[in-house]
Order: sequence, then structure tokens, then C-alpha cells
Amino acid sequence: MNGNHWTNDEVVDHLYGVGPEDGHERECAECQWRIVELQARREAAASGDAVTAGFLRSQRLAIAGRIEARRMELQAWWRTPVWVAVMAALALVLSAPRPAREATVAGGLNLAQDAEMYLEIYQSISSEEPRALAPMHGLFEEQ
Amino acid sequence: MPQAAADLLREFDSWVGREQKRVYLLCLRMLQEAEEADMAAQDCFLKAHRALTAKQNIELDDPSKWITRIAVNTCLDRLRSRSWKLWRRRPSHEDEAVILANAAEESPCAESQAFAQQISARLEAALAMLSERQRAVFLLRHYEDRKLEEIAEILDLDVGTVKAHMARAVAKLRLLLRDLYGELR
Repeated sequence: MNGNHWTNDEVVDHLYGVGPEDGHERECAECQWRIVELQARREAAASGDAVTAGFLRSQRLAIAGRIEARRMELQAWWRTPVWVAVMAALALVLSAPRPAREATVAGGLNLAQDAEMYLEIYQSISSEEPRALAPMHGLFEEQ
Repeated sequence: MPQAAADLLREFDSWVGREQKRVYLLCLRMLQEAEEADMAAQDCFLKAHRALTAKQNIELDDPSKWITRIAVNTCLDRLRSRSWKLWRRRPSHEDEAVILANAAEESPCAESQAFAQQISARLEAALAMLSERQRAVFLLRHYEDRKLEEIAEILDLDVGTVKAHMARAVAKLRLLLRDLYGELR
């Protein structure tokens, strides 16, 4: 504050939203007028840049051109990979290693045999009757 | 005003026509190089087109604020890029001398457009001295008259941070433009 009024720095600060928040500008007509005057100067300075219509037109054409180029690029991108992917999948199917498949089947058989063996061992261990008596059952079975 | 992305995409060309000058000038003030600003402005609309094409079912609260955010981010990216910094051209010593000589001259009519242009030229040189964020904050206020809250939204910052950037920017510019600033008193 300079006496009863804002300093020039405070007026400029206010214009950029970082001035004092004492509400002085609402009460003081002179400071209000200074703010309006400075605001008008700022607007005049801000509108000083001239851009020709020709420049803007050529820029719009360039934007449209780049959008179109990107669209074409995307279309080309979509077409090529589909074709390549189909060919790659076909090649994979044709070159699938058959021995690997047989090995899997053989592996499955081995597993079945192992299970049978473990079952026999389990039965012989868990039976209370001695293994040597098993043939004797045949003698007492009805024909 | 909220607008559906699909509608904006449909009238994309006319939207570009409406926003193009503002976006280009913002890029020019941020980058301070006409050719670079031209490419940046084009990039902004390309990015916008790509986003609108990808998400046509969304609704944009304020397309004008949205493209401003894209523009500021595009410029910040360019400013941050090492190659851009390497090749970035500052005003030559001769140009700076001319600017300073013009500033020192007595303006025949302080209210005239010539004076405004003089301020613009000086301001442009001074803006180069600000940090990227300070410049973005200052430009959005000075040239687009946006509120600090809006600037915070555009730059994805807190209002307090924007205020701090603005205070530093104004203080720095005040110092750099002290001679011109004196004429306003």
C-alpha cells in the first residue's frame, strides 16, 4: 500500500491473480480505474500478434494431410500383419514336431503301468493273509 | 460447454478453424520459434484427432480447455527435449540490441499500437528467461485471461503451485522489464 492506494506493483500483481487480498480494489475508485487501464493495455499488447489467413489455411491443409497420411498408414499396418500372421500360423502347424506328441502318449502309458504296480504293492502289504497261501484258495473253490 | 467426442470429430475441420489461431499463438509464445510452433500446433490437432477417434463415446467438458492442455503439454515436451534445447535458437545479440534500443526510445504516443508491439517484443525476450512452467502459467493468464483455477486444471497442478509460479514469473518479468514498466507509472 502506498498511502491509501495500491502501489503499481500491487496493481500488476492483482491483474495476474497474485495481488493483495484486502478487497481495496472494490472500495477505491482510483485503483479500480488503474486496474481497468492496465487491463486495456495488456489486452492491446496481447492482440498485437498478427497471423495471416494464408498461413492458417496452409496449416489446416497440413493438419488434414497428416491425418490422412496416418489413416493410410494405419490401413497398411492392418493389412500386412493379418497376412503375415496367417502365414506364420500355417508354418507353425506344418512344422509341429510329431515325436513330441508320441512321447506324451508314451509318458501316459508309463504312468498307467506305474499306477497298476503301486496298487499291487499296496494290496499285498495291506492283506493279512500270507502271499504263499493264495494258490491254496483254488483247491476249495467250487467248479 | 460439454460436447460428445463423436460430434467433435464430425465437425473436426471447423473446430480446428475456430481454435487454430489461439493454439498456434500459444505454441509460438511458449516455443518462441515460428516453425517449431507451427509443427507443435499441427501435432496438437493430430493428437486431438487420434484421441477423439479412439474414444468416440466419451464427453468432453470443455473442448477449448482440452486442446489448450494438449498444446501446453506438447510445448513442454518439446522444450524438455534435449535435441530441441540443443538446437533452440535464442535471439542473436544483434536482435537483442535492436529490441533494447527500441525499448529505450521515447514512444511518440504511449497509447499507440506501436507501443503495444514494443511491449510485445520486449515481453517475448523476457519470457525466454522464465522457466517452462512459469512461462506456461503466465501465458495462459496474460494472453488467454484464464483464471488461476483454470490454469491449475489445464496444467494439472494445485492452485497454490500455480500462484507460486505466477508470483515468481511476475517478479522476474518486473525486474527484466523495469525500464518499460516505469513508463506505465
